[in-house]
This record gives sequence, structure tokens and C-alpha cells, in this order.
Amino acid sequence: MKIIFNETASFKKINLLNNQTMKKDINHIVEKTLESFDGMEQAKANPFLYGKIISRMQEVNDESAIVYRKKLVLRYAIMILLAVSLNAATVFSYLNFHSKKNSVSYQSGISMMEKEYFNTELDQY
Amino acid sequence: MDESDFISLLRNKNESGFKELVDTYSNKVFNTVLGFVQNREDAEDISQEVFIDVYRSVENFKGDSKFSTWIYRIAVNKSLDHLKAKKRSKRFAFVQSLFSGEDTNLSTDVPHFEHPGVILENKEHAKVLFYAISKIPENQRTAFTLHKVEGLNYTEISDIMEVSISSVESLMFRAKQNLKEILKNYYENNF
Repeated sequence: MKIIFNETASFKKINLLNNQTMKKDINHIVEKTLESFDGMEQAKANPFLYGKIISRMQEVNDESAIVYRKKLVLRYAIMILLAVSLNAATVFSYLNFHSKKNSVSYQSGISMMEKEYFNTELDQY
Repeated sequence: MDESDFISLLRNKNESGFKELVDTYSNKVFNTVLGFVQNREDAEDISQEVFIDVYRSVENFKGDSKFSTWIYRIAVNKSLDHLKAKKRSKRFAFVQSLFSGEDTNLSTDVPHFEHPGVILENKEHAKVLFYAISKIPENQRTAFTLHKVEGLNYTEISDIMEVSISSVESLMFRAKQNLKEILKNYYENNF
């Protein structure tokens, strides 16, 4: 029993020691990692960077010219569409108004005639 | 050519002045951007954008700070915007993958970036440090990257970030504390 107890105690001791060394090791590695940027050199840019910038600026200019042209075309298209729809609306309302007017005058003529007819009939009795 | 010459040439849209500007600042801008985005292709793209921005908006430069500070500020802002956009698209891709059921590879959460300027014996540790830097808050990351990667002093960093020197000191202190914690967790899980 005493032997088992001693063995467990020694295992615990070994584990504790292992943990302590591991902690020490980790702290050491963390410190080394934090120092890993020491003596670092500057990264060099692409030697053709200027050329790339110029071609990119050109591309952007071309794109914006295309966008400008597209916007212009769209603006004209909207204006034409508006003019056409306004004209169409005017013609439609004009025709609608006239057809209503005609039907009203036609109907009112019939009803007047109807009234007159019935009124004369009533008058007779 | 000093800064005021650059500015007057750029304001006149002088092409040789612009070339001189790119030649003078290309490595500084590229190195700074690379430190933030940790990807060579993205860093090249963003560096181009920085110089185009400088060329187009030089009229807005009021001269309150040094011209180099202004260029660094544009580089830092563009890099941080890029990182935010990347984060957004990653989140969107994740949500999309949840709905589509497709297994998109989103597990880029491992140290992967090798800075070309790091000395050979530090390569592996530097990779882990870059990974840890990507996990700390934005302002701490900015201060740490400008100081450790670009080698700027606290005064220059305070000008770029438009904060006091003591704020930079505090940001650096907190950055180191956070990095220690992240690195400790990383090594405990990968020892």
C-alpha cells in the first residue's frame, strides 16, 4: 500500500515538473516569437510598380469614359421615353374625353326623349 | 527632391514627379501594406491604389503633417479597409455555405504568411507572430505593425494615427500583452 502511494506521489511530482518545464519552454518560445521581427528587412516592391499604376490609371480612365458615355445614352433614352409617354398620355386622354363626351350626349338625348314621351303619356290621363 | 517639390509637381500633374514619388515611397508603402494584409498580391494591388489616391487627392493635402505621414495614413486606411472587406466577404461566404450545404474551405485560421524580410532563423516564429497580430484589435495592430514591421518610431506613429505619443505607448503595451496571451494559447495547443 505504501509502495503504491509512493509511486502515485512520484508520478504527480514528475507531472508537476513536466508542467513546470513545459510552461518555462512555452514562455521562452513566446519571448522568442515576439523577438522574431528583430533585424527584419523592408520588403521590396515590384520594380514595375510605376508601369502598373499608369496602366491601371489608364484603365480607370477608359472605364469612366465608357460609364460616362453609357450614362449619356441612358439619359437621352429616358428623355425620349418620357416625351413619348407624355405624348401617348395626352393623345389617350384626349381620345378618352371625346369618346365619353359623345356617349354622354348620345345617352342624354335618348333619356330626354324617353322623359318627354312618358311625360306626354301621363299628361293625357 | 524634397517633399514640397513633390507636392508642387503632383499638383501640376507632372508625370516625372509622380514617377519620382513612386520610386521614393514604393518600398515603404508596399512593406507597410504587406505587414497589414499579409498577402503579396493584395499588397501590390493596394499599393497601386495608394499611389493613385495620392496622385488624385494631392489637392486635399493641407500640409498639417509631413507628406510621408499623409502617404502612410492613406496606406494604413486602405489596408484596414481591405481587411474589413475581406472579413465581410468571409462571413458572407460562411452564411452562404450554411444555406447551400457546400463545404467551402474557410479554415485559413493557421499561420501561413512568410514576410520576405524576416531573417531565415526567425521565419517560423515570425509566421506565428503574424498570425497572432491578425487577432489583436485594429489600433493595437496598427501601432505594432508600424513600429515592428516598418520600423517607425512612436512620434511618427502618433502622427500617422493622429493620437498622442502616450497613447501609442499604451497601445504598444496592450498589443504586447495580447500577443503574449495569444501566443501562449497557440503554443499550448500546438506544442
